[in-house]
Amino acid sequence: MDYKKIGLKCGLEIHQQLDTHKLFCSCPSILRDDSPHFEVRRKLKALAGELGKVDVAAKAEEKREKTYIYQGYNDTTCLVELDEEPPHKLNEEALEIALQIALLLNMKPFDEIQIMRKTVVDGSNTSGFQRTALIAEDGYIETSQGKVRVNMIALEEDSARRISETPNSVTFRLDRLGIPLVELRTEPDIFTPQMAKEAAERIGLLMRMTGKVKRGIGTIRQDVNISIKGGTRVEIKGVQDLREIPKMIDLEIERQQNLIEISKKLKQRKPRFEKKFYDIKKIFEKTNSNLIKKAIEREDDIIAVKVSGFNGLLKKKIQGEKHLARDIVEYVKHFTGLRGFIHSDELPNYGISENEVFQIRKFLGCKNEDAFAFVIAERELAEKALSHLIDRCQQYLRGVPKDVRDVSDDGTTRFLRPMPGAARMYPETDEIPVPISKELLKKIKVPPTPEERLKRFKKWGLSDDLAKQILHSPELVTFEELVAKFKNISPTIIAATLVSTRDEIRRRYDLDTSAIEKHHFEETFELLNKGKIAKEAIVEILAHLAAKPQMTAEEVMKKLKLQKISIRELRKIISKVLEENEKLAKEKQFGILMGFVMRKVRGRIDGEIVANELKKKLKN
Amino acid sequence: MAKAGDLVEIVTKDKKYRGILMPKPEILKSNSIVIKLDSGYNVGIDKKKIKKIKVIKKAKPKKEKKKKIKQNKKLPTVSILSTGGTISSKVDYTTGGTYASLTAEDFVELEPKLLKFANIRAKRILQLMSEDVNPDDWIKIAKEIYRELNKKDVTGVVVTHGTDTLHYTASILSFMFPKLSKPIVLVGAQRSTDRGSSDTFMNLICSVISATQNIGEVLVCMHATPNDDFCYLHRATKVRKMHTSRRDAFRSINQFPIAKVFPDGRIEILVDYKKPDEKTELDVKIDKKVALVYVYPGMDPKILDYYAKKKYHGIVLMGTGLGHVPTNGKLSLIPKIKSMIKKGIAVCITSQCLYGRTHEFVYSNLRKLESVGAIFCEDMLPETAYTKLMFVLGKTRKLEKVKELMQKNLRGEINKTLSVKMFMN
Repeated sequence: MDYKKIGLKCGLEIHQQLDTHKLFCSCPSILRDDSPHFEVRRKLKALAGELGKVDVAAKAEEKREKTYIYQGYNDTTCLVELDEEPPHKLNEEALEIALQIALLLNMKPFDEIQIMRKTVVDGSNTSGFQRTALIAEDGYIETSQGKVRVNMIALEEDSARRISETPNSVTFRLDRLGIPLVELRTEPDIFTPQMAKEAAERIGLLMRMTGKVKRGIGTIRQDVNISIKGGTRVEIKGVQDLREIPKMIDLEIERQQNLIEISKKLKQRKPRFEKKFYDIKKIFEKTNSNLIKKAIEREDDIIAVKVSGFNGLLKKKIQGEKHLARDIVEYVKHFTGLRGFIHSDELPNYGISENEVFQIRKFLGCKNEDAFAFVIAERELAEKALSHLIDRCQQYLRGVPKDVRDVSDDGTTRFLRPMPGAARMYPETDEIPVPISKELLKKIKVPPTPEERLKRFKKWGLSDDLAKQILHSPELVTFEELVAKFKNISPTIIAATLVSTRDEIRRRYDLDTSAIEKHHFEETFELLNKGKIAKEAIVEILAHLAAKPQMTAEEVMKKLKLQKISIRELRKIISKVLEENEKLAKEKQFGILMGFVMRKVRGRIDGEIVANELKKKLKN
Repeated sequence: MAKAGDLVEIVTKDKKYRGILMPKPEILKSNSIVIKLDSGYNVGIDKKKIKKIKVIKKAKPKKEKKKKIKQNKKLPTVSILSTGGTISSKVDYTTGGTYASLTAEDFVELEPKLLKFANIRAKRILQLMSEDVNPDDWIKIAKEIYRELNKKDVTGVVVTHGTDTLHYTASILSFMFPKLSKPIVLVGAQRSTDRGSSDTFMNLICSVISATQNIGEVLVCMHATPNDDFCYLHRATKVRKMHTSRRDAFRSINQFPIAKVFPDGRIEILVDYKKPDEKTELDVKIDKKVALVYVYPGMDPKILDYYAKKKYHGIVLMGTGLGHVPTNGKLSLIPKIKSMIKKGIAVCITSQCLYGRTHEFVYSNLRKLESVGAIFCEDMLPETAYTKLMFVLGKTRKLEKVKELMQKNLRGEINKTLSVKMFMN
């Protein structure tokens, strides 16, 4: 595809959790899967923001009048998450990490930051708003296809975790609410899907340079803004896997191109939308359709509307296998909870006859270019649904609707909510503004860039491969700390141990390694550094610690008798083996004898030394 | 000169900023100018760096359109009197503080569901955070309520009030209305109304519902739990703010709540309550020379001299446990109390335990205290004893009579039967 010709413009919005306690209380930032200790039930109201406007997105949510259920834990959530206590002072460590990231991205911090309340009425915040503060602006990153400007970084609290939903309620868990997040936004400087992926990767890597961002599923979320010439900026939320970005962008281009075509066609047809709803039950008096018969038995209403100008367009595919009607269904469902409607482009079908279709068309006054849709439901709900259906159709006439969309596993997207307006922010009066003083900025240590680190690692003797591996590893900061601490150990050994020991233990011993923590590595290297063990003992010690994490490395060493032996002791052992195996010794069966010796000294001395000593002995 | 609300361009030596100029709250000493960027964020720019502030567009004063409320003749009418506090706090974006201008329309706009239960009339009578409410304000509030209650079509009065001292106001109002033909419901909020999660909405609905009921008491209506499902109606003399910030901060003490009120209009009565009197009587004569004093280890007895010297007429001591004060040794309060009573000052004893009843005989130290003439206030809350003593001293200064009235149950402030489940619920 010629992305330049279609005028592709993408911007990224990246949310990254920070590895520190919560932003406005001292609760730990941990997610839990055990059963929650309590639940609290709340309602939320959409209110006018600072400038007196009620946000469109906020209002849309409130219309649905839901009950929000919040689950919490007595020991890891507190009254702050419950909105039963004012926020504590902003977590200073989180601010420092955010500033580190800002400086890494060449951004300029503001002189003073103000914590804001960003109205959120989907219930994902107990307060009804998300606390957020703009920290810095005007930065950039480099990609192989050019510069991408990073226009803002904000420090904010993560929302509560959505657990389940019914038509009248949504259940959230409070464990995630309040975890510090940085939000980064780029300008729409990205003009190819590959560049989007590269920029997202680069920003992710730079953030990880602080060593203070969370790793793993759900700790980083990417949103992508996409527009093409003649289209609209559409925000696609929650991309988990960076590798999916290019495919997703291509699919969104396809969707916008198709919607532009539809809009063009509609403009020629000059539709006149009317929200006039008709009960068409009568037409089905003698129907053969089981679907309709059942509806009539249930005493549901069958309410229809003319969809002016849409004949043939509803079945048009807009993204992958997805047709336009499906997009409308998702939109209507968002506002009403109704799961579907029947439209003229799919008829005759479901046992509904051609004659019935004709009758409906006639009854609604449909011309050739008009379509119709009907809903089987109770009248009030049906009319509400059809009213939203007409709203959506009017949006198609204007062009690509301004949506916030959710991405599916196959890269296609579905309607999530309307694009929020700017009226949704006002100051958090429970917090005072925080000055970003020169003193504070001086205190902030800007972490070395990936390039600086790679250079340093190579100087330390790491291979290209290993240097890159450790750079991208969650153990990066641990690596650097351990190298600084243990001068007698080659950095290559430390790096190799950190990046591959876990895998090796899983493979060799079939053990879960999640219990191995930083201090286990540290203790093991301590022994190596002091010459108490040979490097060959590392894996064995750590494997034992994986199973018994409460032990210390030294205890494991003693228990498994892995103390390093001296060359003199080795020679004694070799002599003994040779004495016991006179015949083999005479035949100079190196391989077999090496095996016997190794059985006695494995893990306690370098194998190469053993081989040398054995060879020497055999020569004699 | 750029003013708050103007769209401005600020030029510093490094760059230009564009945004709406925001005012700064005065209490914050700051070297920054705050603007609201297009993104909605407020940020501060160091004043020293600023070279120029150019006004791009002057602020236009907001025109507020207010919808007229239609009267529904089938519904009762409730008067809402607002006195200030969180429940009528809105962030004022021109001063950075909070403000309120609560007309009936404002209340209805805040919570349109009010109109399902009553026609709303509203009046702002005070604009105070409740820590600033004093006895003169109580008198004003009582008189305003009396005026509303005398209106034929009004079925009850709701008073919106800051929560900190809401229970003081509620209890003095109980005493100031010896007869009550309609309910008086005090209501507050723990979360300000500018947030979607505020408890104001449900508290307001439930208080209006309560004000349409056939009850002849002063009541406090607040969240019963952290859930937005129902409110408790508390007896005004038996309720206390027991938490700094929770929605369900108000608890009935030594008493069960009177009812559960649901925002859909249902009421579940939990215990007996007083039926309305035929007429409402107002009695605002109170004696303000009353103090409430906390007793603690190491307390200097001379502290009490101050009240004697300043010619106080009554003092409520929050004693320890069953109502103790230091009795033996150098720091004994007994001589001071004795001399105060001799001077005609009423000394009342309550307990800082809050829960449970005081007792004058269990320990010999209590007997000493009783024998010098201290008045033990049964299971009365210290705050209620304080307002009651003001009311009683407004009737009589004769200590015997004072004692009789203080120990007589006037408005449900004394509960003779404390049940097991009345503790920490």
